[in-house]
Amino acid sequence: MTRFMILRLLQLFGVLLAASAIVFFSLRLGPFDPSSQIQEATLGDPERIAEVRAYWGLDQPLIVQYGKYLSGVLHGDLGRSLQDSQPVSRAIGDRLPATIELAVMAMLIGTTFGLGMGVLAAYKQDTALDVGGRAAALVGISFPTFWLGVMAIAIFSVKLQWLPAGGRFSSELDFEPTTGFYVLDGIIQGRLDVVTTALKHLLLPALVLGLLVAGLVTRITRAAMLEALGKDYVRTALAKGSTARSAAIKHALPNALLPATTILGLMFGLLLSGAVIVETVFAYPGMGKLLVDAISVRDFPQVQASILVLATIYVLVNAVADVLYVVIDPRVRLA
Amino acid sequence: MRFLKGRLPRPVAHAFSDTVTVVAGSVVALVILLALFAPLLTPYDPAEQDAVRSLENPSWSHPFGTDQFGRDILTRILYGARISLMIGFGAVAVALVAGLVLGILSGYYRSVFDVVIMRSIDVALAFPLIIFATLVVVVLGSSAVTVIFAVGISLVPLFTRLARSVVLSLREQEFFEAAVSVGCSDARMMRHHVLPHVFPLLFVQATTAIGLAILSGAALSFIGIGVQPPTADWGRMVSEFAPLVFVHPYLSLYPGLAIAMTAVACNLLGDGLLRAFDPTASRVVA
Repeated sequence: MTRFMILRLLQLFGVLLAASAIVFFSLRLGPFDPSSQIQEATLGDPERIAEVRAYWGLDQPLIVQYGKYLSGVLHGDLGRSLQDSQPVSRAIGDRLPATIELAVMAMLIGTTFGLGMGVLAAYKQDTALDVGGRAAALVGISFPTFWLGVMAIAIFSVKLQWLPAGGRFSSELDFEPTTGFYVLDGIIQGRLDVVTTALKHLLLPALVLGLLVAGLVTRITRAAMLEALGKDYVRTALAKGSTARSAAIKHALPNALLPATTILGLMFGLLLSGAVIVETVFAYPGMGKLLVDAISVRDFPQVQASILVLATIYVLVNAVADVLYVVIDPRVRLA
Repeated sequence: MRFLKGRLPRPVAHAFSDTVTVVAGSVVALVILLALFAPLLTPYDPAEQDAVRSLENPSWSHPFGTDQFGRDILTRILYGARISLMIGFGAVAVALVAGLVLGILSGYYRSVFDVVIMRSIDVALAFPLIIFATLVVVVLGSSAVTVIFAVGISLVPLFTRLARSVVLSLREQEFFEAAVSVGCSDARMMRHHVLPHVFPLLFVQATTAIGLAILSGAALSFIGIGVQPPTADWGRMVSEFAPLVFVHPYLSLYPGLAIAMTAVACNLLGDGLLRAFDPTASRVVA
């Protein structure tokens, strides 16, 4: 087990190092190459170009630049934004809690619905409930997230006016965040108005994102549950006088949940991908919106840092999921 | 579909006996036909603007109405099908070919190929799909072709892993060992013992990935880095209609439903084929 953990950790560092190199070098190949931007910004004045290049450290060989960048990253310095020369880590520090809050909320909604739907659909196989559950799951994975977001705004914000159409918070409320997680901050500061406002802004984007997760979880859970229900141990339990319901809950369900944990990493990738889109639809100030905005103004240090942070989170979550899987399932450990 | 019996490989015939799969397949076929014959089906040009006719309600001459630039929405939906299908099929073709080559190299020749390819796949998988595709588009520039390439590359790990695992399981089988021991050349091994087993599975995986590729391509267009205006693209149309949500809340129904319908049909068709080819397989969405 220790060996497995150490190997996994080493692999994790290797992957992150390679990922950082890919992001760093590829961004310098395309239209993001900072020298072309400097050319535009300085109107081609050679002296100014040299000055700006030296300021950003672009006069050194690429590999040296990468080395410096890497050592900066390890010291928590992700570079400075081309727009306002502020450290990009500051913008990321502001935005990351927003995305995590959204992802956690979406995950809660998605797994609750997905697990429930998946188990019920399998238990009541080929009934109306099963067909309905499968149809809902199909909608979750096939309907474009961004369009569902626009329709959710059209219905719940414009027509019914129940929920805000976008943003993360209401500017009318006087509120100073402590942790950056607004719902948590509201609870810590004992302010109900902050909690409800934050939740209201969170609900629509989290529902839209949650639907995507629910679709995936329903499908996997249903398949796993059907397989478990057909196993000998369920038949044995039934033969020994167990009711169908208790056999399903006590014997099939724990075994069916196992495959569900393997898609944890996959699901998180879906959440991060989805967050980029959902945050754009709802103008929700998270990491995804930060990335999309940075791309539109060609702010390459910001693009680079945002992608790297998102990839790092993804890789870390996947590693944790791997370890978790080994902890939960002894068979994997022995193999 | 009885007339087809005996003329098709059994799994395909099996898929044809399933109503849902047949309906889904018909919808996909219909979308392909609409895309192909778009110029014959509409008198309008998808990019031609007419400021006087901006945001008209549905009428006989414009069944879905017009957009903010006075362009016929139905025309843009029909032409948009071309882009979506091109991205869906193109990206999956890229992923299928690359995955086939890499997976076979990795699984058949093992050694250094296996190490290099599989470690590269691990690195590619460090990026969530849309974020990886975003990086590729940002580096290569925004156009329909780069979107195809970007989504295709993002899907390569899925196909490579599948191809490799099939080849690895083939290696364990007796016919494979026998072929090697009688001295089959690599070329002969590929043609007779590897490709015939690997390709059908990858092909089925490809049909299930088309929906995902269409959705990813539309998402890239929606966030503004995919297909660029004035090209008619469904994802782009939703994003163009999004700011109008307060005045014309339901305009995005047209492109949105077009994407949804196509993606649902592709996914159901893929599921049907997957069930027909491998009844025990459960589908994985990347």
